[in-house]
Amino acid sequence: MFTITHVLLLAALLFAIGVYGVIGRKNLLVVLMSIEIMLASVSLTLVAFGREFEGPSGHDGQVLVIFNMAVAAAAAAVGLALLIAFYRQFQTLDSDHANTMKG
Amino acid sequence: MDLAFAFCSVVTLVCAMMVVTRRNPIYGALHLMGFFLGITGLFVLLEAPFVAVLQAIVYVGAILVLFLFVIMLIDTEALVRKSPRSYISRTSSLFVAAALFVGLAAILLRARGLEGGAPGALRDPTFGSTASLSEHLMRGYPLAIEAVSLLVLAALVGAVVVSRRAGHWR
Repeated sequence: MFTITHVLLLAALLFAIGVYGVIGRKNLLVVLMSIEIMLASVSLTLVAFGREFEGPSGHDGQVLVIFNMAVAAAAAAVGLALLIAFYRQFQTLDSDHANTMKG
Repeated sequence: MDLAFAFCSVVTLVCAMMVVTRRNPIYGALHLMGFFLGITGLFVLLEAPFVAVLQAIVYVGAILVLFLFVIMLIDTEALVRKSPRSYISRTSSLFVAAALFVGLAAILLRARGLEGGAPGALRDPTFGSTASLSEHLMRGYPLAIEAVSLLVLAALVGAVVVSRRAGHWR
């Protein structure tokens, strides 16, 4: 049987993959997708803890996941709108071109 | 159960790696779908059926479609051909991510109170059911629900304002 440690290790690995995408890739679409990966791995952690410490307040983990989803959806909407504005401005998705404020 | 967990973990891991490594974001978005479906399967295995259905509807049905719409708006193939390098620094970011994972794993493996063994039968048979979860949500977090609804409204208005053409309507 799989234990909570397996689930948490899997979530940590997924979070690390998401971090790699956020700091390593230049394409802003891939960066946004990596952020979604990180948010989903956090949801996985919350559900695993809720399952493990089931009790009077055992549903808190799943409730937090629902709020996490709402925040993730809002973040994706605003992030993609910013990305479209960025594309209109620079005709590219390369984050290297976001250097207008550079002194 | 174990086999299903292994299957879902492998699917999520492979799809997540494909998302961060593919050059063309279209393939990234398609693998993101596999990733979300794998997470959905893991939620089912962790006895969170309502959250699993929500994950499938919200992520695969809404967020992923939003990504695909943006990819269709933007000629990603031409952009991929235009930019020769798609990584800022492959080795250093790989190093940072690996260090983060090792740190998290070290914390997890040393944590007390988690070596309870396999998840046994649920004490509460209604745990994770839609009825008990929604009762907990509506009774315990009315203020948070209002705050989230405000946040979503602000995000909706903000997305429209940010993505309109300059000078389109003031």
